[in-house]
Amino acid sequence: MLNKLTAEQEAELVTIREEWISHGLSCKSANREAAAEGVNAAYRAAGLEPPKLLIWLDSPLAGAYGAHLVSELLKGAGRDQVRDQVRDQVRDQVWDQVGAQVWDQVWDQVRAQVRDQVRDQVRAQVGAQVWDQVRDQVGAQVRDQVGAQVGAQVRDQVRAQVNNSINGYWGDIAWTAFYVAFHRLGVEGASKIVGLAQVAQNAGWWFPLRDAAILCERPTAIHRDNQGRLHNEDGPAVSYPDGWGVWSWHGTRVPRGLIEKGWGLKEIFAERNSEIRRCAVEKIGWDVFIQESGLKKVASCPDPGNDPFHLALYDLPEEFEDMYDADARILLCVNGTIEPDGTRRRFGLPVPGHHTDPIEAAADLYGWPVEAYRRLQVRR
Amino acid sequence: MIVSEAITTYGVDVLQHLDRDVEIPTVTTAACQGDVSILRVTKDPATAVVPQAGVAVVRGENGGNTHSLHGQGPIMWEVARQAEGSLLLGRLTVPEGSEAVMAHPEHGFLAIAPGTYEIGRQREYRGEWALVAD
Repeated sequence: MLNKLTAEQEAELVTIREEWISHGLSCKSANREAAAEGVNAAYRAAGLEPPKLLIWLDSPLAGAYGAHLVSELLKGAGRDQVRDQVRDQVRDQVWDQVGAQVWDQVWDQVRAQVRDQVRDQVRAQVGAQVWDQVRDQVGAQVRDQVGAQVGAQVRDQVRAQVNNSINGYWGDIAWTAFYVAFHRLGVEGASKIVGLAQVAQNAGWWFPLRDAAILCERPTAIHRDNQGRLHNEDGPAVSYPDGWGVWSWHGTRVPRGLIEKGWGLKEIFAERNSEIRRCAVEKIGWDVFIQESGLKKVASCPDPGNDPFHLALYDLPEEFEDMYDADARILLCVNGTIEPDGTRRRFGLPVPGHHTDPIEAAADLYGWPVEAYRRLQVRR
Repeated sequence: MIVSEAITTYGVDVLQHLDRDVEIPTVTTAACQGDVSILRVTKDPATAVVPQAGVAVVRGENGGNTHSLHGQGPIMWEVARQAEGSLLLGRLTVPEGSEAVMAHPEHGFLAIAPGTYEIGRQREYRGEWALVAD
């Protein structure tokens, strides 16, 4: 029974975590041979025959379509029939009618047998504290870095476009890393994870079917902000070799046009999703938005330490009352440093709606007492 | 000290358009550098000495948006324990006879006079508080 980790083992957890975060964020093209070996091992670990057919596609979207088509093909229908069926049904019906059960079942089998068996065997050999420690240090962190950001948004985007449940394997990379950690700590039953781990290390999303597996290339680029959230101001935040991608503003998935063309006031006010609306405003800048939409100024005053510039507090327009989960106002601030063109960048930050004094609002943004902000010596 | 001296002394370059001949402002009580705050406090001094190369208090994704601390003479820095919702990055102590600077490629330099300071981050209110994405 593994009840306590040694210092070396704890250090090993950090190594494993870093390795798996980098696997999850990798933009290298797939190692097809190594991935195929991993697929075979994963099937065997689940008590299945390795698939006869491996198909490589260039994005998770292509993979999702491919998985549906192949599962249909493998249903045993004659070739012509399948072709006709595909041609007739693709547009309207296929995606919600086709027997996703086939591959769902295989997937469930791979996942359930590998996951559950690994879990049961590992749990039996590992003390609860070690379990929790590995989960927190490896599983949770890989999930936060990779799964929650990249995995979830790619999956949502595929879902939005295919309008079906997608069981592609990749968002679960945190789960894989978690068991890889036990494997590397020498826990016996955890060795069943190696097949899934090898696929995850060498390919992007993949879709196990009966007798076939669809594997996808990895992204060609992933862009994130300084908090690790998917973000790209002028192109896709995640892009794939076939041109498919995900557009994201500081972690919120947004329409491509918002990023690549930029939205005007009309488009912003027409958008129903308040999160997306906020992203569109942030993209054009609160300063521009405030000016163009004529927001009502609550108060303004000189910005301490940033002479001769001012802080100004604005009410959100009525249409935007649902923009945040609680009542908010916008504090328009001026950067303390000059831009290359000689101007100062102006930016708006949301503050709690009870503020009436711009200084109090500014102090709140730094968690400072108001008096401290009043005595601010310098802003750069 | 002027900006060009700080660049050579501390090994942090700043954007081309920033004036290199101006004096660096000195902080004795309260200042902000972008989304990072510096506030003089009356608390126990930090004790861990900052290495010669300096220490990053906020690290930009590609190293571009990094706020770092450097000392002339020994300075001390203690990283705050991470807590949910806390803005505090850590505590800086500049002993008498030393001087610290906070450097940032886009914001330039702030000199920090002897004393103990809390260095913190900026947040915004999205229905609940969240860190500002610089």
